[in-house]
Amino acid sequence: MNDNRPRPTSLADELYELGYVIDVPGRDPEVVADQVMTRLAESGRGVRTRRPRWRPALAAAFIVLVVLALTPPVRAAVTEWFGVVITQGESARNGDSTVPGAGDGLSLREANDLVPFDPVVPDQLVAAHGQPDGVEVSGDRRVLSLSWNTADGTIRLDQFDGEMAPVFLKQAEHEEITVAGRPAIWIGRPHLLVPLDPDGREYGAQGREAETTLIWQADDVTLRLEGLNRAAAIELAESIAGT
Amino acid sequence: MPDESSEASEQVAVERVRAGDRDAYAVLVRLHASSAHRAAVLFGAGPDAEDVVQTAFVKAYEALPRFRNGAPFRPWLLRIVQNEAKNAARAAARRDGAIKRYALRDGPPADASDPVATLLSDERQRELLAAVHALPEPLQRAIVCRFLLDLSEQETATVLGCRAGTVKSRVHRALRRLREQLPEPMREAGNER
Repeated sequence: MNDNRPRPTSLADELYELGYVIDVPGRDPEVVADQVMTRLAESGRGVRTRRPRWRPALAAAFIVLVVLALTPPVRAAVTEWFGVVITQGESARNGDSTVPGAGDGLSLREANDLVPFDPVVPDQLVAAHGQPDGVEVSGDRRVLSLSWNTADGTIRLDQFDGEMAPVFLKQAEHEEITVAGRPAIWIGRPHLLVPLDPDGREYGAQGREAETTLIWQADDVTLRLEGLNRAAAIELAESIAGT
Repeated sequence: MPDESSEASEQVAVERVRAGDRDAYAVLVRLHASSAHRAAVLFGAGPDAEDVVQTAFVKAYEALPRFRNGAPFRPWLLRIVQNEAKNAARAAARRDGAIKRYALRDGPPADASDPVATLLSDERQRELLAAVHALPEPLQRAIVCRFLLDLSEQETATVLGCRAGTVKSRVHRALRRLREQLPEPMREAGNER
């Protein structure tokens, strides 16, 4: 029973060993390959080496991505995010900022298949305004954006996998509130949304002025709702939080 | 861990699939089925692990046009596996009202004929697993990736969709918590990083 491996001397070594001894018997890879290939054949999916439909959406999706990259990991306490994510500063100049709609060209179902989480489509919005007018998924499939064009302007709901690293900066006066018992952020004035790269450096002039925004979490998904007033935004968030 | 020749055949297969040869995808599935399954289980897919793995491969196939050329396939695949496992666990929780399911809740079946298994006592394995499972999810996933799946920091960052620095700090916090919570091992603890 003896061998040359040293006994684990640190917790890290013990964990490596644990990985080594855990036995996770899986199917024969050959069988898995057969099953997967059968599923691909049944779904009739051809290889899509080109997706022209996506091209127009890509530029916009990139902006959405970096903008959303602002938002911290979903599990972190909101108070923990503030130092990193939101710096106090002047609210953006007053102006007629408008909420950009999401690109179209995707159905909800297609979008659902692309992102790694269960997208939230608020019943309230659908009841009031019908199916979203815009459905867009970022090029790296982490961010789903929905938008509704209403008589009062555009409502935009961005959502993304919550475990994204905090990589953005936002200059705005904000309010720490609670949505369904969980911390959330309300930014009640037009503000500057500044995209940062993954290392936290500003991208420069790619920021845009954003409308009133609520940021909150439901399950593992972080949501960012833009274009509703405080009461309406919170009501909407409460209606879907934790679903 | 894929060796050089499997890495080469992996890149060839990726190229061929992208060029329209669907059958070439089977090569990728064969290469990575075991590690995908292992990850699915460790990420909490429980009895859905097989389906999670299949679905992840199907989704990876569909997403292949967006796969960065020359990048390692496995961490990219495992990210999809991780997300699918999470979805499966969530769906199961809704369905069964279960809080969380872990395939390993009863402790790992250690193979007595494997000399490596003797390095950690059964009891210690159970303690470690219980402590890892008690960690908050992001910390737990970092530990699963770095140690139980033996991925590098960079690979872990790809799987978890965060920066390598975030992985480092999660692992650091996780180890600190584990040390606080775990009973001392029977032997003298060495110098830990």
